[in-house]
Parts: sequence; C-alpha cells; structure tokens
Amino acid sequence: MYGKIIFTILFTVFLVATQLSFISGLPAGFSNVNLILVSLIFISVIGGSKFSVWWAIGAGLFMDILSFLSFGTYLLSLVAIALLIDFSLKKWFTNRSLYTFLALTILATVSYSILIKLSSYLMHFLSGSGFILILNEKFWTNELSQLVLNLLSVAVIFYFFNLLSIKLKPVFLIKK
Amino acid sequence: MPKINPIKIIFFVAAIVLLIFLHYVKILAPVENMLVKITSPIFSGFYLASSYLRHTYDEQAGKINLAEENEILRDQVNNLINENVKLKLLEEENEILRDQLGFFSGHNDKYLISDVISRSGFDSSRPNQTLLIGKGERDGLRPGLVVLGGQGIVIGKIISTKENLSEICLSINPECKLAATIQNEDKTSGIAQGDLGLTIKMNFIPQTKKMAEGDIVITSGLEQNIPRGLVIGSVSQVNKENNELWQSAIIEPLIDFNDLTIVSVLLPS
Repeated sequence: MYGKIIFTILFTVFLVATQLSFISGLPAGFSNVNLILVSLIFISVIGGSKFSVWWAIGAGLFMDILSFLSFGTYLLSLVAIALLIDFSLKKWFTNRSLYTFLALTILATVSYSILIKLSSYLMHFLSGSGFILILNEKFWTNELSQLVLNLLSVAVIFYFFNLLSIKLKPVFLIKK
Repeated sequence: MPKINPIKIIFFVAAIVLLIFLHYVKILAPVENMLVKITSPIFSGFYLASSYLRHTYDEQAGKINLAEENEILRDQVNNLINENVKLKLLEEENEILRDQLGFFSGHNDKYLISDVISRSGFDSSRPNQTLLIGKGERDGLRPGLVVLGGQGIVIGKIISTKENLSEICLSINPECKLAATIQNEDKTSGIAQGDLGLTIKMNFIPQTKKMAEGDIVITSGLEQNIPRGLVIGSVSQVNKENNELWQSAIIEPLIDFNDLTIVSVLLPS
C-alpha cells in the first residue's frame, strides 16, 4: 500500500518535471505534447475513477505549486477532466479499444484547453491586467498540433501497453 | 445513466477546497517551498537535457554550420555593440559632467545568476514567450526587475515571483513592455513591446523623429530598477507613412531566446 503511494508520488513528480522542463524545451511542435493529460487518460481507463481523481488532485496540486496561474487552476481542471473521462467511459464508451482512447484524447484535450484559457482570462480579468489572446492562424495551428501530438502519443502508448499487458486487449467468449 | 455517489463527490470537493484554502492561508507554504527546492535541480537537469536534444535536432536538420557561424558572428557583433553603447554613454556622460559638475549616474552591478528550468511553463500555447527560473523572492527577486542574457543583452523582465520561482516575460512577449530609447541623434524614446511573440515593436514615435535600420535600441532608464544603456535589440524595419500621425519601428532581439539556459537578473541597489 505505502509502496504504491510512494511509487505514484515519484511517478507524478517525474511526469510533471518532464512536462515542465523537458517537453517545454523541445523543438517547436514537439513541445505541444501534454504528457499529464495523456497519462490521466490511461490512469482513468486502467486505474478506475477513484484512483484517477486522487491522481488528478496530486498532479494538479504539484502543477499549481509550480505555475503562476491562480492556485487551484490545474487542480480543478485535471479533476474536471478525470470526472469527464469517467463519465464518458461509463456512459458512452463500453470497450477499451484504441478508438475509445482517441475519442477520450480529443475530448480531454479540447476541454483542458478551454478550461485553462478560461481560467487565465478570468485571472487576468479579476486582477485588472490585460490578457492578450490572439486567435490567429498560429494559435489554431498550435492547438491543432497539440491535439494531433496527444493523439499520436496515446496511440503509441496504447500499442506499447498492449505489448506488455493483456489488460487492454479485447476478450472474446467462445462457446464450446 | 451512471450512478453518482454524492458522498464520494462531497469528499473530493472538500479535499480540493481544503487544499486551496490551506494554500491561501499559507499553511502549505513550507511544504510547497521544500518541494520546489528539492525538485529544482531535477528541473534544471531535464531542461539541460531538453536543450541538448534541441541542439542535436538542429544539427540533424543541417542548420548547425550556419548556426555556429551565426552564433560566433552574433557574439562578436553583440560585444561590439555593447562596447559601442558603453563608449557612447561615456561620451554623453562626459558631456553632462562637464556641464553639471558633481553629477554622476552609475550602473548597478549586482547580478543574480540563475538556471532556466522551463520555457513557457505548462502553457504550450504561447511557446518562447516566458521562462521560469529557479530563484525567487527568497533570493531578492521581485516583479519588474530586468533579466539579461549573454553579453548583457536584455531578454525581458520578471513578471511574477514565488518563494523559489520566478516567471520572466521575454521581450518578444506582447505582455512585456520596456521603456526604450533609440540610440541615434534624436534619442527617440518610447515603449518597446513584444509583437506576436516574434519581434519587438516600438509604437507612437512622432513623424519628426529620425531613425534608420540598424540603430541600436537601449533601455531608457525611465523605469524603476532598470538602468539606462542596456541593449534591447536593433531596428530592423521602420514603418513610416506620410498620412499617419505616428511612425513605428520593428526591433530585432540580438540574442536567440531558444539558447538560454542561464540568465542573470539585475538586482536593485
């Protein structure tokens, strides 16, 4: 039990450090991958709703400590995404195929982007400072590349996970 | 319809509200500071690895020869520009001193060197517009202080600080404004503001002021804690229309913001 908790904390620190320092420093384009979101999708599907919400609280808290947005922005956004994924898995996606993961990635990336932008806008609005959001071609290309890279990452991790585990492989009941 | 357990939801909401509350009443502060302090070296290491990868990627993309040559030339140009600026400032200073005996305005030489730990933080939608450094209020940093890259070129200023962290807005960030002067005969002053995260723009310059491509833009010294004479960039384009009331200038930074791994913050006296 304690071993699992320590492992989860270390894994979360590693993921947040990778996202904050490693991925953000990669060449343009590659820096758009959102590893936290991709991990949250896999954790939600494999670990279940309770674990994913706790993980979202932990990761969100750590991200908020390191971020300059209002405290709670990442915490609340990640928990909201975890709940949304859980709801979608129970309501719409009954299987655990690649298509399910891809659909969840689209849903999570779009929702996350909207939530973070809205929080930033709200924070700047309440503090009285100007928030400059330029909705030009570069902005949309960037958002689209984030979505495409997240989809690619999910697909790669899905196949890699399938090589190591049978947890996501389809099960067929054969009548003898 | 999936079942929702209200007790579970209340429990999670209470945990989140409690965490946010504990942060704002500063009870979590020691834990947060310790966490940042412990993990800061990891972030620096990850950022260095990432920079190395980016450099290798550029190498593979066949840019390295040009980039190296460019870098050497840029360093030389920057050194010469700095030297030139210093000499011009000394000349100006000398003239003023002759006029007003006893007056002296020196520069603050106190710097704080820090590792860059992230580019743009968790917000990838605005790449290359902010940097995070692993030094904060505990080291005497506060919003408004100017940040310098190699050869003392201005790269931006601090916009927010935490106990052990600071956020720098780069001079190409539209949210970053610097009081600037063009180093020419007219000594045109204005506000240099980031433009689309690519260049710097200086607006509202009267039509009567003369400026040309290649003119060096320096800090004007009108901002608190930012001394006069720090190089911001050079004028790459002058936008002048006869039917307009004002003219504007596009300023090109003299430093590649992608290569920044260590920066220095100019501390107040």
